[in-house]
Amino acid sequence: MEKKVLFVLNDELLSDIFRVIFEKIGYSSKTVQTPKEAIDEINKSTYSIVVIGNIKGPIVKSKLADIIYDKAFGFKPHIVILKEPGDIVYNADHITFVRKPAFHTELLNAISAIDENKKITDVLHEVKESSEAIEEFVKNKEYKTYDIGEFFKQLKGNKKFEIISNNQKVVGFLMNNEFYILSSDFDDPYYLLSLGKVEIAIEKFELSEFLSLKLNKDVFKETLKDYILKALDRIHNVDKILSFFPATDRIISIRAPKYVLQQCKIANANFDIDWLESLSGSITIEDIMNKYKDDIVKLKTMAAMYILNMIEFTEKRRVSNSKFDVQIKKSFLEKIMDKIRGL
Amino acid sequence: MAVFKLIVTGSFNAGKTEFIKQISEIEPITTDKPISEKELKDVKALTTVAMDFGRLTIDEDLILHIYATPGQERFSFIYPILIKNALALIILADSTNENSIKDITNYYTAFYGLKRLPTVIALTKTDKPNKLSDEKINTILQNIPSDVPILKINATNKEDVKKTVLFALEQLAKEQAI
Repeated sequence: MEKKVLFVLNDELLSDIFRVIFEKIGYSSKTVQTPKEAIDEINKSTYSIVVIGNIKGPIVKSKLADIIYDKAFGFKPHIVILKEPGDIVYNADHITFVRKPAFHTELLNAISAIDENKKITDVLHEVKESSEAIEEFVKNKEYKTYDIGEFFKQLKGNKKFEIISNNQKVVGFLMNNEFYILSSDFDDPYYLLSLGKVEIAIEKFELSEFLSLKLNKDVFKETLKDYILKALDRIHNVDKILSFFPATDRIISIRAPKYVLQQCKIANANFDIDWLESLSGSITIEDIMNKYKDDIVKLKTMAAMYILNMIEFTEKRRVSNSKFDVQIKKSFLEKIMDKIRGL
Repeated sequence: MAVFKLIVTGSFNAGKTEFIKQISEIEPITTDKPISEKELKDVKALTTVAMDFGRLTIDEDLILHIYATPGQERFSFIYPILIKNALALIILADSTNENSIKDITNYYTAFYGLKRLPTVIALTKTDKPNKLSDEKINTILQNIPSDVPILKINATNKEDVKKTVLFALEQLAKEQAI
């Protein structure tokens, strides 16, 4: 039987590291990020080992391990759980707990700390990027038109990009949620968010390529969240801020937990998260504009939350006389009620 | 195959897992893990991390899934996922715990903002001597619309649980009849 390992991991760096290790000992590998993908995969293929780390979705690792083991068709895989504080540990022949490796983040943090002046990660040597290398950085030159806000909203995982606006070019990448600009025709790196419609070529950025990249000290680097917040803080035109939203009459709904929202602040603005939460699902941007006519900071903060996918906008409910937003056939409802009465 | 959902929510230790057990045909699949908040450790050894899941097969073409959502606020991101095909919302609260009662309004508001569901508020542990007075509870719940039923139940009593669910579904049936 071919030796195969399935990584259920929401950590691209770690996944790539594991892939290299397992390939060295003769395993082929596949990575998925969600429990559903893991179960689909285990139903499709036979795996010798399944490695479960941080995963997308609400299920805990041990529970997912049990489900995978039960659902595995034919050959039952051995399951390795990358344990973190708080994870359930129990004895089972088919499960091995291993402490989640942290060396990769420790290494990157240590390297980052070396440069005290700019606090950027000089991954390898200080070698000035040649213009040829920048030109070749994004190989797939299939440009698509994006609103720049929509581009940032979709920017997830490890990606390389090349942005063109009126013959001005910006080349950069996102790695481990850090936003890098390798080369830019604009003096201010934060100006990017003011560009409106742009042409962008985008492609996946492999960890191996990142590790072999020679970055000089001048490479701009910031967390994506901080970049968006600072870039929005530099925009002073209300219409520009509003252009980041899909429509001002859509209803705001919160998608991120409160503690995440609390970290999303424009400069020193005192944005009331409790206020926002209390109105989630009932107010629109238009309502906010009417109530806080001169409060551009609130709009900027909401724009940041929207671009960073912490809040979303949904279409206004259709005007309806019904009391509830529930659709079910009368016969189905009666059957359900009869069943419950008879329990 | 039509699948509908019943959502059971409420604060920590309100009895959501027990509630599901009464009407689920399967032993609820729980996703419990030891709690991390120090101050809560003495109260309950386990708390629902993501959600508990129960099932009730109505017939070969119709199934009711019952979900108990996390008590802790930090898991509110699950709500928008849950509401699809949801029929009703049951909000449980521990009547001996003022914060648990206070949380009712937050849960009601959070779900109502996403989807208007027939809702029932069910107060548990009402047989305990340290339960809050009715007057106090009514004051805390003054912002809940008056047409939302408030019941006192024992979450480990099947008849109480059935009554609670039926109260919610009857609101839906009443609207269909209009």
